[in-house]
Amino acid sequence: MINKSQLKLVAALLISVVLSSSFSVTAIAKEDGYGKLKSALKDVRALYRADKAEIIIDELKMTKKENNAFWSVYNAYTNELKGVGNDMVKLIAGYADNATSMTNDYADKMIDDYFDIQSKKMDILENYVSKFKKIMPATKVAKLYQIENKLTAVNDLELAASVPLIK
Amino acid sequence: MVKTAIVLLMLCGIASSIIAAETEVVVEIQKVSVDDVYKMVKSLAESDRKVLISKNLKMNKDERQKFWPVYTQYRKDIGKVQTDQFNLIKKFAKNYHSLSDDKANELLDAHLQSKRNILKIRKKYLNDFKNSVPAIKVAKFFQVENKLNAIVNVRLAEQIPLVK
Repeated sequence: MINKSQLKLVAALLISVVLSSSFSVTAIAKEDGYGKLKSALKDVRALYRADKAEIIIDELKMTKKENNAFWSVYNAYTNELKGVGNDMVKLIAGYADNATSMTNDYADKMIDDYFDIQSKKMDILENYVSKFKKIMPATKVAKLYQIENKLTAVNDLELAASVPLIK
Repeated sequence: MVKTAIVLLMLCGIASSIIAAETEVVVEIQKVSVDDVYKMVKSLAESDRKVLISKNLKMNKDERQKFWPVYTQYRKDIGKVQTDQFNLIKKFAKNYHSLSDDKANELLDAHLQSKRNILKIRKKYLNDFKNSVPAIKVAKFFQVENKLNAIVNVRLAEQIPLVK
């Protein structure tokens, strides 16, 4: 049978999928339904966030040697991602401050900052996939990458629902 | 929290698929044709994207004339990488029950490369978009794209099972 951590992961994704069907093309066009989706997705995040380590432990089934080497590298990885996440928060805060009087110069800067953040995220991902490959077999690294990807997909949907389009 | 999730899912009428045996979750990728998922995602995305962009960017005639050719070429390039990504999903499905470390390594590297390629394409077209419409509209265009990508990605993430 499906284990508890898998249930949480699958549940988070399926709830997001169901919610995303209400976050439809019409909602994007009309800018309605954001509030409902935003609060619902917060619950989804809470579902897995506290148990991310538990999901990784359950799914990767690391040997003692792998486990000993893994966590310090994984923590460094999440710390680097947190740094990029903070840059994203600053970008969104700046957007919120300028939303009612957006200029082309500010929009230009926002676009460039956004792509800098995406490049940094990509660099971190590639760098740490190489590091994880030195700790455990590629099948386990692939599984870790999938878990991260699934959780990122839920996060990105929350972000997409939270940030309204430029007026 | 798990209980809350289950109640929510029951309300949505899909609880049975979640509380299914592990094997059922695992064979999900084989029950749904990868080609069907690909077609659904592509057609949904392409038709909706153009309508949404048109509605939200409110371009004048001059902007439209400059923007759409750039956009068409941009989506063509993105489409090629998306095809590569779906071919990777197919390879994953084919090797699912006996995925070797070598194959996992190959698929992982290829997927990372495809993500890098998408980012390169988006950055490559940035200046062309900026030359066709004001920066505010370019920012709005990428916002619309990101919102649609988020929907597509969460659906894909739900469809693809974890490595065994």
